[in-house]
Amino acid sequence: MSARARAAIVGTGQTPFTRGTPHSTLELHLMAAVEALADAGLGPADVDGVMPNELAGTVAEDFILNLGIPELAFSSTIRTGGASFASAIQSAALAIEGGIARTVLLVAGRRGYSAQRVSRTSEGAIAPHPVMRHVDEFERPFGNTVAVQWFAHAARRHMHEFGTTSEDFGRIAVACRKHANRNPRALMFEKPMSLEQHQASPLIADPLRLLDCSLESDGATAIVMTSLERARDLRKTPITLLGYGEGHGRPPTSITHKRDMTRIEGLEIAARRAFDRADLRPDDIDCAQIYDGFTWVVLASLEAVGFCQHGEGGAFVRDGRIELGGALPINTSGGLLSEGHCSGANLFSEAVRQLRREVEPSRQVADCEKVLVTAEGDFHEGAAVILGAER
Amino acid sequence: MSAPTRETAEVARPAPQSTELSDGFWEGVRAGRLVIQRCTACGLLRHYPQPMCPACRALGFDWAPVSGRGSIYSYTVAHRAFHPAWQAHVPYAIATIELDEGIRMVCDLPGTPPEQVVIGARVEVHFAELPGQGAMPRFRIATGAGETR
Repeated sequence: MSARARAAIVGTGQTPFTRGTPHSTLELHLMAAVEALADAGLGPADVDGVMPNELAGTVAEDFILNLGIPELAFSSTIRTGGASFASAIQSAALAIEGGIARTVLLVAGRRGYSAQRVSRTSEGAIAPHPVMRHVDEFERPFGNTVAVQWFAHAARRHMHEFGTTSEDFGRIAVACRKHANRNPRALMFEKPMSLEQHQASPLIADPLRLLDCSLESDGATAIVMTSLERARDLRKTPITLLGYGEGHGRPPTSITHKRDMTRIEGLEIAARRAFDRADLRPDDIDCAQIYDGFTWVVLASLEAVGFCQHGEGGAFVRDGRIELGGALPINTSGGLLSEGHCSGANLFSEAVRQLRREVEPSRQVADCEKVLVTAEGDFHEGAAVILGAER
Repeated sequence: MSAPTRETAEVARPAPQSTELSDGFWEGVRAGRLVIQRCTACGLLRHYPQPMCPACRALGFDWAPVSGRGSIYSYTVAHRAFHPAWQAHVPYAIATIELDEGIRMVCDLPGTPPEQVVIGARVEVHFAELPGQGAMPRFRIATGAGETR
C-alpha cells in the first residue's frame, strides 16, 4: 500500500454493450451512473463532482438536471481523446485529495454504433476541435482522413524498424478475443477468433486489418470515486489509486510529425509518473488493462510502460504471455477490441472487478493485487493509473 | 517548379481552411512554390504553421523556399475510403514524407504503383489543381533516384 493513496474507486456501473440501442448517449450515461452509485451504496445526493467525457458530448448540467444532484462543487472535462477518461481519474483524485469534492462521478461511452460510427465518418461527422486543426488543414485534405490511417503510419514504421509483423498484431487481437469469450458482457462473447481469421480479415489501412480495430459499440460505463477514508465505510472493497500520471508527446497535434512515431511518448511519461508515485515497477503488476483502439497501440503501449524494451513488443506478445494464465494477462474483459469501445472506461470497471474478485472464475487473475490501466488518446497522448485493493 | 496540372477526380476533396498563420504556405502553392514557415529571429523552420517559435519564443515569421525533395518516412495503403473523394481511388497510398530540410508533410499518392511506395523512396513535389481544393502540393516518386535508407 502506497502511503500516498488517498482516493479510491468505490462504485462501477455499465450498460450492456450493444450494436443498436433505443437510448440516447445521455440516457446510457445516466443508467450507468445510477448503477455505479448503487454499487457504491451511495445516491445522487452524495455526488458533488462530475467529470463528463469529451467524446460523448455530455455536460455537467445534464447530470445535475437528471440525477438531481443538489450541490455540485467540481466539474471538469479532459480533452485528450481516448486518454480523457484515464486523465479524468487523475483529476478526480486531485479534487478529492485537495478537499474540493467528496464524491466524484465519471461517465464515458457513446452511441458508437447507432450514431457516431467511426467507419462512417467523413467531413463534419465529428465536431471540429482545436487539437485537430493541423490535421484538418494539412492531412485530411491529403487523404489521411481517419485515425486508423494515422496509426497505420506508426505501425508501418514500427514494422520497418523492428521487424514487427501483422501476426504480432494478430496475437494481441486473439488474446483479447479469448478473454472476451469468457466474458458474457462482451460483444464478442460467443465469437471465437483465430490468428488465421485475423490474417484473413480485410486490410483497412495497411498494415492494419479489420480485426486490428476496436469495436464500434453502444454503451456507457460509470465510475464513482471518493476518499480512501470514506471508502472504508462503504459496502465494497476499496480500490485504491496507488499511482497516476498523464503525459503529452511532441508535437501533440499529429502522429505523422512525431520525431519518433514508433513510440507513444505521452504514455512513456505518464507511466513513469504513475510508477514513481506508486513506488512500484512494471514487475509488480499482476494484470494490465491496455487501451486498445488498435492492436498496434497495445504493442507500443507495452513498450511505453516498460514491460519490455522499445521495439521488443512483437517478441513480448509471441508466447501467450499476455493471455490469461500467462505472466501478464492484459485486457481480461476483451478490451475495446472484443468487449466494447467505451472510451477506455470499461478498462477501469474491469480492473475494479478483477481486484474485487467479482469477475467470472474462468477469467479471474489469481492473487490479483495490482492492476495497471493505460490510455492512449488523440496523437499519442497518454495516461496511466495503478490500482490496488485494500482488503 | 512546374505550372499546375489537372488531375481527374470525380468528387470534391475537402478544401484546406487557410488561416492567417498558413496563408503564406497556400499563396506559395498557388504560385507553384513550396515554402515553409521560418522564424525570423532564429531561422527555425516549422511545419505545420504555428504562431510562436518553440525554440526562441519569437512571434515573427516569413516563408522560406524548400527543395521539395525528400523521402518516404512511413506510409499506409488505404483499402477503404472514409471520405467519398477517395472512394474511386482505393487502394491508395498515403505517405508521410520527410523533406531533405527535415520537414514532414503528408500526401496521398493515388495511381502510384504499390511496389514504389516503400520507406526511404525518394519523392519530389509538384503542383496540381484538384476538385474542391484548387492548387495543391503533390508528391510523386522521384525519377531516376534510388532509395536512401
